[in-house]
Amino acid sequence: MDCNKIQELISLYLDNELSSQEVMELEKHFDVCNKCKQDYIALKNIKAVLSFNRKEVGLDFTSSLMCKIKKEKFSNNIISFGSMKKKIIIAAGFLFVFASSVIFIDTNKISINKQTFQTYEHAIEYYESYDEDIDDYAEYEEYMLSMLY
Amino acid sequence: MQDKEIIEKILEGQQDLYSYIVDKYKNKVFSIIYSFCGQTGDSEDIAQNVFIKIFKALPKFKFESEFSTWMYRIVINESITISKKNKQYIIPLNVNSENADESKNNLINLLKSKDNIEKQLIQQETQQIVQTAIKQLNDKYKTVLTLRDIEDFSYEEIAQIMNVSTGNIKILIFRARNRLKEILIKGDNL
Repeated sequence: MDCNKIQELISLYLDNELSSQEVMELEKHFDVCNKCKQDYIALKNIKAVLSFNRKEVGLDFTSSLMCKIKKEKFSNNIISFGSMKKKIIIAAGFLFVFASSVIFIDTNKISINKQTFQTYEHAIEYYESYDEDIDDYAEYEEYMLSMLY
Repeated sequence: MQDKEIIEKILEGQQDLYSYIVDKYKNKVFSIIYSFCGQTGDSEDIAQNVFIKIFKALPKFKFESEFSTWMYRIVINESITISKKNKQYIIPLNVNSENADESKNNLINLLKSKDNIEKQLIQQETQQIVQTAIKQLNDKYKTVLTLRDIEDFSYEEIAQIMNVSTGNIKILIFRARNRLKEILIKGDNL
Protein backbone atom coordinates (compact mmCIF):
# COMPACT_ATOMS: atom_id res chain seq x y z
CA MET A 1 0.00 0.00 0.00
CA ASP A 2 1.40 3.43 -0.95
CA CYS A 3 1.51 6.47 1.34
CA ASN A 4 -1.39 8.28 -0.42
CA LYS A 5 -3.71 5.36 0.24
CA ILE A 6 -2.47 5.12 3.84
CA GLN A 7 -3.23 8.83 4.39
CA GLU A 8 -6.85 8.19 3.41
CA LEU A 9 -7.07 5.23 5.76
CA ILE A 10 -5.57 7.00 8.78
CA SER A 11 -8.74 9.03 9.34
CA LEU A 12 -10.90 5.89 9.19
CA TYR A 13 -8.44 4.08 11.47
CA LEU A 14 -8.89 6.80 14.10
CA ASP A 15 -12.64 6.20 14.01
CA ASN A 16 -12.41 2.37 14.07
CA GLU A 17 -13.98 2.21 10.62
CA LEU A 18 -11.46 -0.16 9.01
CA SER A 19 -11.69 -3.90 8.48
CA SER A 20 -9.23 -6.09 10.38
CA GLN A 21 -7.37 -6.74 7.11
CA GLU A 22 -6.97 -2.99 6.49
CA VAL A 23 -5.84 -2.43 10.09
CA MET A 24 -3.12 -5.06 9.66
CA GLU A 25 -1.88 -3.48 6.44
CA LEU A 26 -1.90 -0.02 7.96
CA GLU A 27 0.04 -1.06 11.07
CA LYS A 28 2.53 -2.93 8.91
CA HIS A 29 3.04 0.29 6.91
CA PHE A 30 3.64 2.32 10.08
CA ASP A 31 6.53 -0.05 10.95
CA VAL A 32 8.35 0.90 7.77
CA CYS A 33 7.18 4.49 7.12
CA ASN A 34 7.97 7.01 9.83
CA LYS A 35 6.26 9.92 8.01
CA CYS A 36 2.88 8.18 7.89
CA LYS A 37 3.28 7.12 11.50
CA GLN A 38 4.03 10.73 12.57
CA ASP A 39 0.97 11.92 10.62
CA TYR A 40 -1.13 9.33 12.40
CA ILE A 41 0.19 10.42 15.82
CA ALA A 42 -0.49 14.09 15.04
CA LEU A 43 -4.06 13.38 13.89
CA LYS A 44 -4.70 11.14 16.89
CA ASN A 45 -3.54 13.93 19.22
CA ILE A 46 -5.62 16.56 17.42
CA LYS A 47 -8.66 14.31 17.78
CA ALA A 48 -7.92 13.93 21.51
CA VAL A 49 -7.55 17.69 22.01
CA LEU A 50 -10.80 18.30 20.12
CA SER A 51 -12.67 15.84 22.31
CA PHE A 52 -11.70 17.97 25.32
CA ASN A 53 -13.52 20.90 23.73
CA ARG A 54 -16.88 19.53 24.88
CA LYS A 55 -18.61 22.13 27.00
CA GLU A 56 -21.35 22.06 29.59
CA VAL A 57 -23.96 24.69 30.30
CA GLY A 58 -24.62 26.17 33.72
CA LEU A 59 -27.00 24.53 36.18
CA ASP A 60 -29.87 26.97 35.66
CA PHE A 61 -29.74 26.84 31.86
CA THR A 62 -33.02 24.95 31.39
CA SER A 63 -35.02 26.77 34.08
CA SER A 64 -33.98 30.22 32.85
CA LEU A 65 -34.72 29.22 29.25
CA MET A 66 -38.20 27.96 30.18
CA CYS A 67 -38.81 31.25 32.04
CA LYS A 68 -37.84 33.19 28.90
CA ILE A 69 -40.24 31.08 26.83
CA LYS A 70 -43.11 31.68 29.27
CA LYS A 71 -42.31 35.37 29.61
CA GLU A 72 -42.32 35.98 25.89
CA LYS A 73 -45.66 34.17 25.57
CA PHE A 74 -44.67 32.01 22.66
CA SER A 75 -47.82 30.06 23.34
CA ASN A 76 -49.57 32.55 21.06
CA ASN A 77 -47.19 31.82 18.22
CA ILE A 78 -47.17 28.07 18.46
CA ILE A 79 -49.96 26.41 16.50
CA SER A 80 -50.70 23.59 18.85
CA PHE A 81 -52.66 20.57 17.81
CA GLY A 82 -54.84 21.14 20.91
CA SER A 83 -55.83 24.59 19.76
CA MET A 84 -56.30 23.22 16.22
CA LYS A 85 -58.94 20.88 17.64
CA LYS A 86 -60.70 23.82 19.25
CA LYS A 87 -60.53 25.75 16.00
CA ILE A 88 -62.04 22.84 14.08
CA ILE A 89 -64.93 22.61 16.60
CA ILE A 90 -65.57 26.36 16.35
CA ALA A 91 -65.42 26.22 12.54
CA ALA A 92 -67.87 23.28 12.52
CA GLY A 93 -70.21 25.32 14.76
CA PHE A 94 -70.10 28.26 12.38
CA LEU A 95 -70.73 25.94 9.43
CA PHE A 96 -73.74 24.44 11.22
CA VAL A 97 -75.22 27.88 11.95
CA PHE A 98 -74.60 28.98 8.36
CA ALA A 99 -76.15 25.82 6.88
CA SER A 100 -79.18 26.11 9.20
CA SER A 101 -79.73 29.73 8.20
CA VAL A 102 -79.56 28.85 4.49
CA ILE A 103 -82.19 26.14 4.99
CA PHE A 104 -84.31 28.55 7.02
CA ILE A 105 -84.08 31.25 4.34
CA ASP A 106 -84.95 28.71 1.61
CA THR A 107 -88.01 27.49 3.54
CA ASN A 108 -88.99 31.06 4.14
CA LYS A 109 -88.73 31.81 0.43
CA ILE A 110 -91.22 29.03 -0.35
CA SER A 111 -93.68 30.37 2.22
CA ILE A 112 -93.24 33.86 0.78
CA ASN A 113 -93.87 32.44 -2.67
CA LYS A 114 -97.06 30.78 -1.39
CA GLN A 115 -98.36 34.16 -0.25
CA THR A 116 -97.11 36.13 -3.26
CA PHE A 117 -98.57 34.12 -6.12
CA GLN A 118 -102.24 34.89 -6.32
CA THR A 119 -103.02 32.67 -9.30
CA TYR A 120 -101.72 29.44 -10.87
CA GLU A 121 -100.78 31.37 -14.04
CA HIS A 122 -98.66 33.82 -12.07
CA ALA A 123 -96.76 30.97 -10.54
CA ILE A 124 -96.13 29.27 -13.91
CA GLU A 125 -94.95 32.54 -15.39
CA TYR A 126 -92.52 33.07 -12.52
CA TYR A 127 -91.09 29.52 -12.51
CA GLU A 128 -90.73 29.43 -16.31
CA SER A 129 -88.41 32.39 -16.09
CA TYR A 130 -86.76 31.00 -12.93
CA ASP A 131 -86.00 27.43 -13.94
CA GLU A 132 -85.63 26.48 -17.58
CA ASP A 133 -84.34 22.96 -16.88
CA ILE A 134 -87.71 21.40 -16.09
CA ASP A 135 -88.84 19.24 -19.05
CA ASP A 136 -91.77 17.29 -17.74
CA TYR A 137 -94.58 19.80 -17.78
CA ALA A 138 -97.12 17.56 -15.95
CA GLU A 139 -94.71 17.00 -13.09
CA TYR A 140 -93.93 20.68 -13.09
CA GLU A 141 -97.62 21.56 -12.98
CA GLU A 142 -98.16 19.20 -10.06
CA TYR A 143 -95.24 20.80 -8.26
CA MET A 144 -96.66 24.26 -8.83
CA LEU A 145 -100.02 23.23 -7.48
CA SER A 146 -98.42 21.80 -4.36
CA MET A 147 -96.67 25.12 -3.89
CA LEU A 148 -99.84 27.13 -4.21
CA TYR A 149 -102.28 25.04 -2.15
CA MET B 1 -40.69 8.82 26.34
CA GLN B 2 -39.36 9.15 22.77
CA ASP B 3 -38.55 12.60 21.37
CA LYS B 4 -41.37 12.44 18.84
CA GLU B 5 -43.95 11.64 21.54
CA ILE B 6 -42.72 14.60 23.59
CA ILE B 7 -42.91 16.90 20.56
CA GLU B 8 -46.48 15.74 19.84
CA LYS B 9 -47.46 16.56 23.42
CA ILE B 10 -45.76 19.96 23.23
CA LEU B 11 -47.70 20.71 20.05
CA GLU B 12 -50.90 19.65 21.82
CA GLY B 13 -50.24 22.37 24.36
CA GLN B 14 -48.03 20.77 27.06
CA GLN B 15 -45.24 23.26 26.48
CA ASP B 16 -43.52 22.60 29.81
CA LEU B 17 -42.35 19.26 28.36
CA TYR B 18 -39.90 21.22 26.23
CA SER B 19 -37.63 21.25 29.29
CA TYR B 20 -37.03 17.49 28.74
CA ILE B 21 -35.80 18.19 25.22
CA VAL B 22 -33.60 21.05 26.46
CA ASP B 23 -32.12 18.93 29.26
CA LYS B 24 -31.35 16.09 26.87
CA TYR B 25 -29.57 18.15 24.23
CA LYS B 26 -28.36 21.32 26.00
CA ASN B 27 -24.68 20.32 26.38
CA LYS B 28 -24.32 19.06 22.81
CA VAL B 29 -26.07 22.12 21.40
CA PHE B 30 -23.93 24.39 23.57
CA SER B 31 -20.70 22.63 22.49
CA ILE B 32 -21.59 22.99 18.81
CA ILE B 33 -22.36 26.69 19.23
CA TYR B 34 -19.16 27.18 21.25
CA SER B 35 -17.15 25.40 18.56
CA PHE B 36 -18.46 27.76 15.88
CA CYS B 37 -18.74 30.98 17.86
CA GLY B 38 -16.13 30.51 20.59
CA GLN B 39 -16.11 33.20 23.21
CA THR B 40 -17.72 35.83 21.05
CA GLY B 41 -20.62 37.09 23.06
CA ASP B 42 -22.15 34.84 25.64
CA SER B 43 -22.37 31.34 24.16
CA GLU B 44 -24.97 30.35 26.74
CA ASP B 45 -27.24 33.20 25.73
CA ILE B 46 -26.77 32.24 22.09
CA ALA B 47 -27.61 28.62 22.95
CA GLN B 48 -30.79 29.74 24.72
CA ASN B 49 -31.84 31.84 21.74
CA VAL B 50 -31.24 28.87 19.45
CA PHE B 51 -33.42 26.69 21.70
CA ILE B 52 -36.15 29.36 21.52
CA LYS B 53 -35.89 29.34 17.72
CA ILE B 54 -36.23 25.55 17.73
CA PHE B 55 -39.28 25.83 20.01
CA LYS B 56 -40.92 28.35 17.68
CA ALA B 57 -40.13 26.13 14.68
CA LEU B 58 -41.68 22.97 16.23
CA PRO B 59 -44.94 23.25 14.22
CA LYS B 60 -42.77 22.93 11.07
CA PHE B 61 -41.29 19.59 12.22
CA LYS B 62 -42.85 17.00 9.90
CA PHE B 63 -41.99 13.86 11.93
CA GLU B 64 -40.30 12.39 8.82
CA SER B 65 -36.77 12.34 10.29
CA GLU B 66 -35.49 11.92 13.83
CA PHE B 67 -36.22 15.03 15.87
CA SER B 68 -32.52 15.32 16.82
CA THR B 69 -31.46 15.32 13.13
CA TRP B 70 -33.92 18.13 12.38
CA MET B 71 -32.86 20.03 15.50
CA TYR B 72 -29.10 19.75 14.84
CA ARG B 73 -29.61 21.12 11.32
CA ILE B 74 -31.15 24.23 12.85
CA VAL B 75 -28.36 24.44 15.44
CA ILE B 76 -25.64 24.21 12.76
CA ASN B 77 -27.32 26.71 10.44
CA GLU B 78 -27.77 29.15 13.32
CA SER B 79 -24.17 28.62 14.47
CA ILE B 80 -22.83 29.34 10.97
CA THR B 81 -25.00 32.47 10.66
CA ILE B 82 -24.00 33.78 14.10
CA SER B 83 -20.29 33.02 13.60
CA LYS B 84 -20.34 34.97 10.32
CA LYS B 85 -22.12 37.92 11.94
CA ASN B 86 -19.60 37.99 14.78
CA LYS B 87 -16.53 37.43 12.61
CA GLN B 88 -15.29 40.98 12.94
CA TYR B 89 -15.26 40.67 16.72
CA ILE B 90 -13.17 37.50 16.88
CA ILE B 91 -9.83 38.07 18.54
CA PRO B 92 -7.41 35.63 16.85
CA LEU B 93 -5.73 34.41 19.99
CA ASN B 94 -6.55 35.05 23.60
CA VAL B 95 -2.99 34.47 24.71
CA ASN B 96 -0.65 37.32 25.51
CA SER B 97 2.17 37.69 23.02
CA GLU B 98 4.94 36.78 25.49
CA ASN B 99 3.47 33.34 25.95
CA ALA B 100 2.24 32.83 22.40
CA ASP B 101 5.45 31.30 21.03
CA GLU B 102 5.77 29.04 24.03
CA SER B 103 2.17 27.89 23.59
CA LYS B 104 2.78 27.12 19.93
CA ASN B 105 5.89 25.12 20.80
CA ASN B 106 3.93 23.23 23.40
CA LEU B 107 1.32 22.47 20.79
CA ILE B 108 3.90 21.19 18.28
CA ASN B 109 5.36 18.95 20.97
CA LEU B 110 1.89 17.84 21.91
CA LEU B 111 1.11 16.86 18.32
CA LYS B 112 4.29 14.76 18.26
CA SER B 113 3.65 13.12 21.60
CA LYS B 114 3.39 9.34 21.47
CA ASP B 115 1.76 9.12 24.89
CA ASN B 116 -1.94 9.27 25.37
CA ILE B 117 -2.97 12.85 25.95
CA GLU B 118 -4.78 13.63 29.15
CA LYS B 119 -7.10 16.56 29.53
CA GLN B 120 -5.42 17.82 32.68
CA LEU B 121 -2.08 18.11 30.87
CA ILE B 122 -3.41 20.33 28.12
CA GLN B 123 -2.94 23.99 28.89
CA GLN B 124 -5.81 26.37 28.37
CA GLU B 125 -3.69 28.27 25.83
CA THR B 126 -3.28 25.12 23.74
CA GLN B 127 -7.02 24.59 23.67
CA GLN B 128 -7.49 28.19 22.61
CA ILE B 129 -5.00 27.74 19.77
CA VAL B 130 -6.96 24.72 18.55
CA GLN B 131 -10.20 26.70 18.90
CA THR B 132 -8.74 29.51 16.80
CA ALA B 133 -7.53 27.00 14.21
CA ILE B 134 -11.02 25.45 13.96
CA LYS B 135 -12.46 28.87 13.19
CA GLN B 136 -10.21 29.09 10.13
CA LEU B 137 -11.78 26.02 8.57
CA ASN B 138 -14.59 26.35 6.06
CA ASP B 139 -18.14 25.70 7.29
CA LYS B 140 -18.29 22.09 6.04
CA TYR B 141 -14.98 21.10 7.63
CA LYS B 142 -15.93 22.89 10.84
CA THR B 143 -19.26 21.07 10.93
CA VAL B 144 -17.87 17.56 10.37
CA LEU B 145 -15.04 18.02 12.86
CA THR B 146 -17.36 19.45 15.49
CA LEU B 147 -19.87 16.64 15.07
CA ARG B 148 -17.31 13.82 14.84
CA ASP B 149 -14.38 14.78 17.06
CA ILE B 150 -16.03 17.04 19.61
CA GLU B 151 -19.51 15.55 19.82
CA ASP B 152 -18.66 11.95 18.86
CA PHE B 153 -21.53 11.51 16.37
CA SER B 154 -21.35 8.45 14.12
CA TYR B 155 -20.67 8.81 10.38
CA GLU B 156 -24.31 7.87 9.69
CA GLU B 157 -25.67 10.51 12.07
CA ILE B 158 -23.45 13.19 10.52
CA ALA B 159 -24.52 12.10 7.04
CA GLN B 160 -28.19 12.50 8.01
CA ILE B 161 -27.67 15.88 9.64
CA MET B 162 -25.67 17.22 6.68
CA ASN B 163 -27.90 15.43 4.17
CA VAL B 164 -25.00 13.84 2.26
CA SER B 165 -23.85 10.24 1.79
CA THR B 166 -21.74 8.42 4.39
CA GLY B 167 -19.00 8.06 1.75
CA ASN B 168 -18.83 11.83 1.37
CA ILE B 169 -18.69 12.26 5.14
CA LYS B 170 -15.64 9.96 5.33
CA ILE B 171 -13.87 12.09 2.71
CA LEU B 172 -14.91 15.36 4.38
CA ILE B 173 -13.63 14.22 7.78
CA PHE B 174 -10.33 13.05 6.29
CA ARG B 175 -9.82 16.40 4.52
CA ALA B 176 -10.96 18.47 7.50
CA ARG B 177 -8.52 16.74 9.88
CA ASN B 178 -5.64 17.19 7.47
CA ARG B 179 -6.52 20.86 6.93
CA LEU B 180 -6.62 21.43 10.70
CA LYS B 181 -3.26 19.67 11.07
CA GLU B 182 -1.77 21.95 8.38
CA ILE B 183 -3.09 25.08 10.12
CA LEU B 184 -1.76 23.96 13.50
CA ILE B 185 1.67 22.93 12.21
CA LYS B 186 2.14 26.06 10.08
CA GLY B 187 0.87 28.18 12.95
CA ASP B 188 -0.29 31.01 10.66
CA ASN B 189 -2.80 33.43 12.18
CA LEU B 190 -2.73 31.55 15.44
